[in-house]
Amino acid sequence: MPHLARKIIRSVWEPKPYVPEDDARADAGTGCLRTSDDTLSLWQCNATEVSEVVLALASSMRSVEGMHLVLLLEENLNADGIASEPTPDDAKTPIEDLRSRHFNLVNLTMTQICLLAKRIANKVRENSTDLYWFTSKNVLNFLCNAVVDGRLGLNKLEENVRKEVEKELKKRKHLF
Amino acid sequence: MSSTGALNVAGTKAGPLIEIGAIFSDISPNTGVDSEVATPEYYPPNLTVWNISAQRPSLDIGGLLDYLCTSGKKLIEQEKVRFNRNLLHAFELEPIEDGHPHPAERIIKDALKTYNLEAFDWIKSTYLKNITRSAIAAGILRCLGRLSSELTSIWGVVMAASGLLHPDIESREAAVRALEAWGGKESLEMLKAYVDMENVPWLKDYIKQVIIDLSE
Repeated sequence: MPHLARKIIRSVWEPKPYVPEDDARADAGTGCLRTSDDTLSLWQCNATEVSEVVLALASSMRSVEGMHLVLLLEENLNADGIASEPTPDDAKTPIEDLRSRHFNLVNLTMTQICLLAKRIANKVRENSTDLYWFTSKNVLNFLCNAVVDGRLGLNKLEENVRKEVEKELKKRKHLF
Repeated sequence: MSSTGALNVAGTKAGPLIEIGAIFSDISPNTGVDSEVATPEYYPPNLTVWNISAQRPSLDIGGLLDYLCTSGKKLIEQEKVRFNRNLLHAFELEPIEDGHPHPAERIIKDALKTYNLEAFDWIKSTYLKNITRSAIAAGILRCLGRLSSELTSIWGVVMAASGLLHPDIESREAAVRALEAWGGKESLEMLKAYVDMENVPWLKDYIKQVIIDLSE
């Protein structure tokens, strides 16, 4: 079943006492669901491919940091009237084989954003298995593996990220 | 202050404002500027007193020093106000995003490079004044975590310790992220001492993993 993954800051989605059931904090919506041209960027994957999404996101980051992802079923989004379309050209990742995973939710309205926010907020409330976290070390390992596998050139990374990956790769060489 | 000591204070979560403030009391630099105390009246100095008979000026050194001291304090106070305004504006303008720079980082970094410990006083003051505004309190901790541990020094770790005691999970997560980014023995010990106090399961699991990562 295809999912669409979105990077979030999970702690912002944790409910506060004034947030009713089936609702979400405004900061969560305005912070993690910021649209541009009424579109929202997500990545297609199934539950066993989440690390590929992390790699896609991390490879365009300016610094290596941990992250949270939430997986949303495409059919549930469609049921909310939210349209998605593949947009490989909008993918910022330098890893070619990941670009086809990039999707945009398009022609979004405020009502649809609210529906999306409620879906994420409910997953956070239920501590759903569709929520994933990765520490900065996890992220760094994914990047290093991609470099070792020849999927990602070091020169394609932002300077800070490249330095950290180089340092980690040197450490690995030292170990083996 | 040892990390263990800080966390013992943290154990009781009632009255976080007082406790967090208490953590800082030990490390506040004596800058001589206190925004809570009324600034002495600003006055022009009596720069010279002419001795007519000798035809040479004699400087009123005391007056000059007073003047320089007062105007220096006034300038620093103005910089503090500007820093506070710019920092809050930056957080209101855009949220923090993992792996991507935030304008507030530059504001904090520039202040630290220029004013050193004085700037820490400003950061601490802005943090404490906005401690109930999670986007700002957590934002400050996230931005500090993105600066080098050389720049944030031990007070950065102390601020992160205060974040771990925060009743709001956003600030606690931000504190964990900062300690994760700095790494090192102090961060590791701080997280080890704290992990069993965390009551949100996913954050507790995240901290456990960071402890493993930092121990390698």
